[in-house]
Amino acid sequence: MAQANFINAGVTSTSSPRPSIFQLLASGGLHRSICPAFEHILRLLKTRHHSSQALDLLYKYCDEFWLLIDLSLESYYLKTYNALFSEHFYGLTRSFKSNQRHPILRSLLFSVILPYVKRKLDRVFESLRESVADGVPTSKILEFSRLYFVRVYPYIHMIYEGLHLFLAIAYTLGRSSYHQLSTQLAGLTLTQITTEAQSQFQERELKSRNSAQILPKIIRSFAQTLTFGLETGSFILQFFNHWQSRTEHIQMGPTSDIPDPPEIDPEISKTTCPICHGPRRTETLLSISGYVFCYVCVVKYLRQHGKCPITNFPANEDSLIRLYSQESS
Amino acid sequence: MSTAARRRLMRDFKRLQEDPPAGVSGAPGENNIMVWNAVIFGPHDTPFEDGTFKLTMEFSEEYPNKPPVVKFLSKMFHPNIYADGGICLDILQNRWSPTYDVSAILTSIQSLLSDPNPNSPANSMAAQLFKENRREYEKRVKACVEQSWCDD
Repeated sequence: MAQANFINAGVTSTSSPRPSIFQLLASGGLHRSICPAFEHILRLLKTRHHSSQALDLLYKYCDEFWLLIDLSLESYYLKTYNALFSEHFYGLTRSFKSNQRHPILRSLLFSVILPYVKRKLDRVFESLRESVADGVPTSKILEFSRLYFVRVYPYIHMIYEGLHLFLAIAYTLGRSSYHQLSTQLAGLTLTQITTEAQSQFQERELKSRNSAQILPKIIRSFAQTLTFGLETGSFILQFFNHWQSRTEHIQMGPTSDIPDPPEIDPEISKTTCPICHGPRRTETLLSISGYVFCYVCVVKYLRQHGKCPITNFPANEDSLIRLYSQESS
Repeated sequence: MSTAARRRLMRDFKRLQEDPPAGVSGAPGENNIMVWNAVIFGPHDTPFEDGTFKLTMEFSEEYPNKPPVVKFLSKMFHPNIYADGGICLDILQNRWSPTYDVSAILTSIQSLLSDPNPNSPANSMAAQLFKENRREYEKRVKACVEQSWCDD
């Protein structure tokens, strides 16, 4: 509650119940950045314990796990504060049209599930685009739909992003009461938290605190930790930034464990690929571990397993570097 | 037809012939390179000494990105080998790496014979005897060794 009060106090002098576009964009940004943060934490954990099966699984289905956490977190926030977590953090609340049914369900559908579907589609598009470029063979029907999807999807993406930009501009100019697609679709507007709404929220918070059910309690304490973590985290980050700039000569250590130096079999490492054991074709370096493979071999393996074939460090196609040696040029 | 898996298996076979590891041998089946027959000789100074244990290795088109299915054809008495001949070995399951080849797999299985891991048992009887009654364990293994000379 503290941060909501703080933000309200800062803006009340100029504000109407209609929040400014900056507030909305900031809360949207926070909403979008929590999932990548979650993914990053998982990746870090996976780097540290790279033989753990459970972490492997968690990382592979990272999006789905986050969907579950997000759904429970946001439904708690929607029930208690009429707002998403990030919106409440910036002192906003959702007001629904009175004639609408299932406002919370609609909010969850458009603010949590829709972005999830979009994220999944983005990933599918990325992997399909490369498999088309590499000419990985499939059956005829799949081939056709794959090509079709790869051609059409960029336009869908453009329309989606374009609509967002259009709505944001229209909102700034006062022509639209919605600033983004999800609120437009759910048919709700965001307003500043008023004092009476705030007391209502406190009442609900107390009620949920006194209830004996365990699940809401867990969610509530998770939400509180997240809020608290964000506040203190951003403060500490600022502090460290300041401190870092004064003591720039002190080097920070690497964030992950340094792997043991690989055992080099001189026969194999000079010219052959560790995967196909043949002469390397289109030499490609995996920068996560420093090994060199055939491009085709390593890409196929990374897509299936998402880790370095030799060191088991998590890796993806972004860390591949094409090598141009003198012999091959 | 030449696929990545088949090309790799040809290389594995070549390496196995040019640089044969001690105590193991293997070769692809006559008309299918995806199914191999192999023999592991029981390591010296272990109860498995003098045994000639036969195995099959079935590779998929995803080899070497996926491990082959390796099974003993000979009857075995070992803490990490199932009654049907299946092998409980980490590098054939979750710790598989595409850098392994046939010769590495066979030598790993050979060293599994001399160093069983009774903590992840596939044959609980063998694991229990290995831990508690080594003499009886060795007797049962010897019986397997003798049987391994007879079966085709």
